[in-house]
Amino acid sequence: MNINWFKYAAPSSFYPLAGKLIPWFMGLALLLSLLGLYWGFFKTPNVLTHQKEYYRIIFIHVPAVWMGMWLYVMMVFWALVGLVFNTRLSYMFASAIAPTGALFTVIGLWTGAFWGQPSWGTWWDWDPRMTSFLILLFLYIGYMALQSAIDDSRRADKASAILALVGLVMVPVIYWSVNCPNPAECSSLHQESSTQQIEPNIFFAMMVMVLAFWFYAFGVVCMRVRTLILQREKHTQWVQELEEVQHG
Amino acid sequence: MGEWPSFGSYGFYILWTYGLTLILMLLEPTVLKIQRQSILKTVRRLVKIRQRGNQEAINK
Amino acid sequence: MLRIFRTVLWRDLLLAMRHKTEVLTTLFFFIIVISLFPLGIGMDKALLQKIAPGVVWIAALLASMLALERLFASDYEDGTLEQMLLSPQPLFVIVLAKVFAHWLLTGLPLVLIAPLVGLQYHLSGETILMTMLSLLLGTPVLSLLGAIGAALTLGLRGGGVLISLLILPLYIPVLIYGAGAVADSLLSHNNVQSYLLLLTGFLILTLVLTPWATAAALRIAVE
Repeated sequence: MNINWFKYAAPSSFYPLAGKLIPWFMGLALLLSLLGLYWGFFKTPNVLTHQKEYYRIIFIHVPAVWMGMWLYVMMVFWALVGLVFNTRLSYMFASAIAPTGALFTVIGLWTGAFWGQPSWGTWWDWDPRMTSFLILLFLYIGYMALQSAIDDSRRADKASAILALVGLVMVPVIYWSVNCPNPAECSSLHQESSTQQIEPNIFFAMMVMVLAFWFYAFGVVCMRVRTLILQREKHTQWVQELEEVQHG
Repeated sequence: MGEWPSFGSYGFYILWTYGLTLILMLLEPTVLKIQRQSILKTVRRLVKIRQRGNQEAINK
Repeated sequence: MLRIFRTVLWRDLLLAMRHKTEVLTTLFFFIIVISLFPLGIGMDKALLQKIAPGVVWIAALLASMLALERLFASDYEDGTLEQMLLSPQPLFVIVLAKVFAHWLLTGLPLVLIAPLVGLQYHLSGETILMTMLSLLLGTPVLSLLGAIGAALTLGLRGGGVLISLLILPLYIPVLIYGAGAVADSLLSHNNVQSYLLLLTGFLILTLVLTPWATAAALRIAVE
C-alpha cells in the first residue's frame, strides 16, 4: 500500500480526513475507558496492603499525568517540524495540542491532590514531582498566552514554537533542580514509579485507560485542528465550497 | 459481573476525581463543537457577502 | 567581533546614562520590596534571617523582570533593531552585547546593594559576601533568559506582564540554587561550593545557548 503522506500536510486534504477519523477516535476512547473502568473497579482485588480503596484514583491519575508530559513533547515535536519544514499544518497541531495537554496536567494535579489527602493527609506538598508538574502547567499556560497575544498567526506560531523549544531544554534542568534543592541530599515523598511490582489486573486496567486517553487526545486535537483550519483559511475557495458551509 | 466495590469512607475522594475528570472531558469536545459552529456561521456570512458582491458586479 | 561587541555595549550604556530613571527604578524597586517584607511579616530577628535568602532572590527576580521589556523595545520602535538584523555582523554578538549592557545596568547594582539588605536582615559578614557572590553569578542568567522573553514579546500589547508569565518559570533553577547558597552559608556551609559551581554551570550554559534563541526570536519579531 502506498500512501502519499505529504498529501495530508495540506490543510485542504487533512480537513476531510480528520473529519472521518474523529468519530473513530472518540468511539475508541469511550469503549476503552468503559473497559478500563470496568476492569479497574470489578476485576481488581478489593483490599491492597495499605493503599485502601482510594487507590482506584490511579486509573485516572497515572494516565492523565503521562498524557500531560507526552503531549508537551508532542507539542514541541510539531513546533520543531514547523520550524524546520515551515508547514502550516504542523504549527496548527502544536497549538491544538497545548490546551489538551494543559487539561490533562490539571486533571493530573487535581487527582493527585485527592489521592494525597487520604494517603498522606495533605492536599498538596512541595514534593519534587508535584512541583515540577505544576511548573509544566505554567509552561503550557505561557505557551498559550504568547500564542493568543500575537495577532499575526504566522508570527504567533513561530514565536511560540521557540518558546516551547526553550521550555523543553529547560525542563530537565528545572526537574533536576526541584528534585535536588540541596545538592548533597535528595529526598522525595512521592514513591518511585513501580510498574513492575503492581498487581497485573490493576496494571491492565491502567494501561487500557492510558490508551483511552490517547484516543481521546487524538480526537480532541483533530477537532481543534479542524477549527483552526476553518479559522485561518476562511477566505479560501475550498473552505467556502465545503458541504457543511453550503448546507448549514 | 463482580461485586460492586465498597469505597468505605473514601467515596468522597473517588467521586470528586472521577466526577471532575468526566466533566472536563465532556466539556472540551462540547466547547470545540460550539466553536466550530460559530466559525462555520462566519464562513457562511463571508460566502453571502461574496455572492452579493458578484451579483452587484453583474447588475452593473 | 570584539569591536561590534564593544560598540553596541558602549552605545547602550551611553543611552542608559541619558535616561537614568530606568536604571534607578530597578534598583529602588529592589530596595523597597526588600524593605516591605519585615513590615509585613514581623521584625523577629531569627525569622528575618531565615527568610532573607528567599526574599532577596525573589526580589531580584522581580526587579530583573521590570527592565526587560525595554531591552529591545526602543531599538525596535526607532528601527535600529532592523538595521542590526540587516548588518553583516553576527546577531549573536550584538544580542550578547545588549544583554551584557542590560546586566551592567540592572543586575550589577543589585549585587552592589546587597550589603544593605544584609544589614536590614541581620546577616553576618560571611553571609553577605555569599549573597553578593550568588547574585553575581545568578543575575546574568536572569538577564540572558529574560532576553528570550523580551524578544518574543517585542511590540505586543501588555508585553511586560506577558514576559513574566513566560520567563518566571524558567528562573526557578536559579532561584533554588541562588537562595540555597545563601541559606547554606547561614546554617552549615557544608556545600556552598557545590551551589556556586551549579550557578556557574547555569551561567555558562545560558551564555552559550540563549543568545541563539534570542536572535531567532528577534528575526521572527521583525520579519
